[in-house]
Amino acid sequence: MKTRFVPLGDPYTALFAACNAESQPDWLAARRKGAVERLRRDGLPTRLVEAWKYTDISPLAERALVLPAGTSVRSAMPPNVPFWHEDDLNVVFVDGQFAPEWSNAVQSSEIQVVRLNNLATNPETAPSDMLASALLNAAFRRDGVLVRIPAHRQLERRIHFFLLHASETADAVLAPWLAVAAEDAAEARIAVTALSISKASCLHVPRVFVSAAAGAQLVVSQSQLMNDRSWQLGTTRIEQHRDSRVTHLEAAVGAALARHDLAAVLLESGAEVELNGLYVQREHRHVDFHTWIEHRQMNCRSHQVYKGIVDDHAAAVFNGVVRVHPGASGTDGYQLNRTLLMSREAQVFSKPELLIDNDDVKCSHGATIGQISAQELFYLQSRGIPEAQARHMLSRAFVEDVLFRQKDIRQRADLDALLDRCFPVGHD
Amino acid sequence: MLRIQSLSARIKEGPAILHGIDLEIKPGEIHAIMGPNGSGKSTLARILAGHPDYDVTGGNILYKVGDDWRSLLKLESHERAWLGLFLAFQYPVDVPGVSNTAFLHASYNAIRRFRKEPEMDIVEFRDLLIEKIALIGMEPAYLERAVNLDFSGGEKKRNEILQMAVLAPQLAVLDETDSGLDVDSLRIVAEAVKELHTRHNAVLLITHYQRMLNYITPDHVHIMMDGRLVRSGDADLARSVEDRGYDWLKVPA
Ligand SMILES: Nc1ncnc2c1ncn2[C@@H]1O[C@H](COP(=O)(O)OP(=O)(O)O)[C@@H](O)[C@H]1O
Ligand SMILES: [Mg+2]
Repeated sequence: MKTRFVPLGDPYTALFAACNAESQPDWLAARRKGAVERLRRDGLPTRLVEAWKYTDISPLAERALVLPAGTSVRSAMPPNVPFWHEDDLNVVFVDGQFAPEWSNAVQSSEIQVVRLNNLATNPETAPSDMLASALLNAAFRRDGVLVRIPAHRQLERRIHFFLLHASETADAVLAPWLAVAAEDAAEARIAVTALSISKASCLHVPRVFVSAAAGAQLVVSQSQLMNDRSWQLGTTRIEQHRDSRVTHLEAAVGAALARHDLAAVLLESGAEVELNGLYVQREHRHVDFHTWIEHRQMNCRSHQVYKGIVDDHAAAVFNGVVRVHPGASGTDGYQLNRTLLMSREAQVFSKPELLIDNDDVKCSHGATIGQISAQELFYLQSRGIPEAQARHMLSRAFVEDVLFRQKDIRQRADLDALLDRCFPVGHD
Repeated sequence: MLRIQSLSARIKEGPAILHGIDLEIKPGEIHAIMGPNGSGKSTLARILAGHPDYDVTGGNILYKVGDDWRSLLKLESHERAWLGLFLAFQYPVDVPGVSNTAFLHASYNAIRRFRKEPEMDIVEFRDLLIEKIALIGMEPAYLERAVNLDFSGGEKKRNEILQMAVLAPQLAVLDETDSGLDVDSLRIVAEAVKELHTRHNAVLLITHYQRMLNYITPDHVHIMMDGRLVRSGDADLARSVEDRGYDWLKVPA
């Protein structure tokens, strides 16, 4: 591997053209054009590109991706999928296409649901994200939804985006886009669940955009439950205004290869963001988290804890950057990544980074990679819990710990049930 | 109930700490071990509980099971708990990610499985916990928090006594449960320990001060110095130590 980029194979040309031929607003056409040009010019990064050092997506260049057949699905559909709740405000995508028949959110008078084709302008006003994952989303994006939460509304019901992978055709490319705009002082819980109900492989490149206006308070949970043949390259951008507060929790337990680039940009003073993550990686799975927290103004706070378990031949990458701009005095930043390494063959790469251009900050970070604590083990055993059971409890607890801060009780219960499946019980 | 015979021990790959301890505890008794910092009190307590950091280099610890005396040294830590041994830690361990309820539920049922008793479901168990937590004056909200995580020093100690109350051990070893407690907490903890004490079980109080002994009168008091029990007596011995310190008990080298 000598080159930094590999050119895209021929099949991509036809795919891009097919996506471009569908009806779309002008802004998306422009964004797509830029993304396609960039992808054609550069191709896909190899591991010689720093941002992709531990995660090799270059084989995608030669993959014969297909667009999912529009008719696929819809028998194994809700309510028979994990995390589904009838009384959430559901916004469902099937194979990257919005499925209004499953989306009760469109009937709600409390929020406004706008389909991408009806959006005159791009709610994402920041310069376009040039990361390969984001470019792939823009190039393949065929549908999307913006949910607007009016000012001062306190939503009782949770908004739940389902990104379902149902295509039985192998190597379908799915590129949903979803955006949430919480207006001044709005309060809501938002869940995003990416889930395979098909056993076929796919490439899932979702794009999530969240904006929290002044005083808005959001609890956002993203869960990745793709099947073990699929790849997911997701990007999320959270923009926060004055005194807004966002608590984000992501959980990753699926996919053969998953990469998530999550940016939280604290645009105005007093904004607070909490990013939590948990991952359970087994077999040959590979997960890569890149987080980017940007303190642009004074007196913002960020708090980040990612914890995971890596077993068998699995690999986990954590690269977290906290960037503090020169004007951001009074910044309070905390970042921690802890991984429990359960096998000799498993791999962990952890790199927390602080980039600070201001003296008046309180920032700390750390990373640990280790085994189950002998002190904790002895404590449990001294209470009559046999060693095997104690180890089981403690490995699960290692990630469960992150859930103790979860404010979306329903999400916590769902993730608990998910962890039950990741850590099947058995008394030895 | 318990016979410690000429017990010597050292830290694994480290120095010898205990040099021939003899102690017998009978059902219904309360014993206290007092001694200066670093004399080996916690070492003894941890060895009783089966802590893996120590090697026993001589002697034995016998524990009565039914009509038989069994060596604890052959048993793993959890098996000792199954037989009714309980250690309240001097420094209780934080267990992030495990709620107090889940922790105790697992312990309780592990012991019941050993006794071939049916396990208790979580709903019934919660009721039991609510009842027990009143004994130590803690709010039920603590039950859903992670074990000892962000608990104050005093709360951790009370939490140990909650565990003792739920697991109802035959022999409870309380390692400096009284230190770090304010006056009210000390009274609550001492009352709880008294309440849990019957003529069928026994308590070994390890303490640095005489504070706890103002509430609980031990039947026997032993003084530990440099890994030896240098003197035994009744509750008066504790008072002498309170008045005179430990120096007068030093054995000439
Ligand atoms: N894990 C350990 N590693 C090294 N030294 C230890 C360890 N545990 C105890 N010690 C030493 O053993 C001696 C006895 O300690 P300990 O039993 O804790 O005393 P006490 O509880 O009476 O204060 C002390 O000198 C202490 O420093
Ligand atoms: Mg001690």
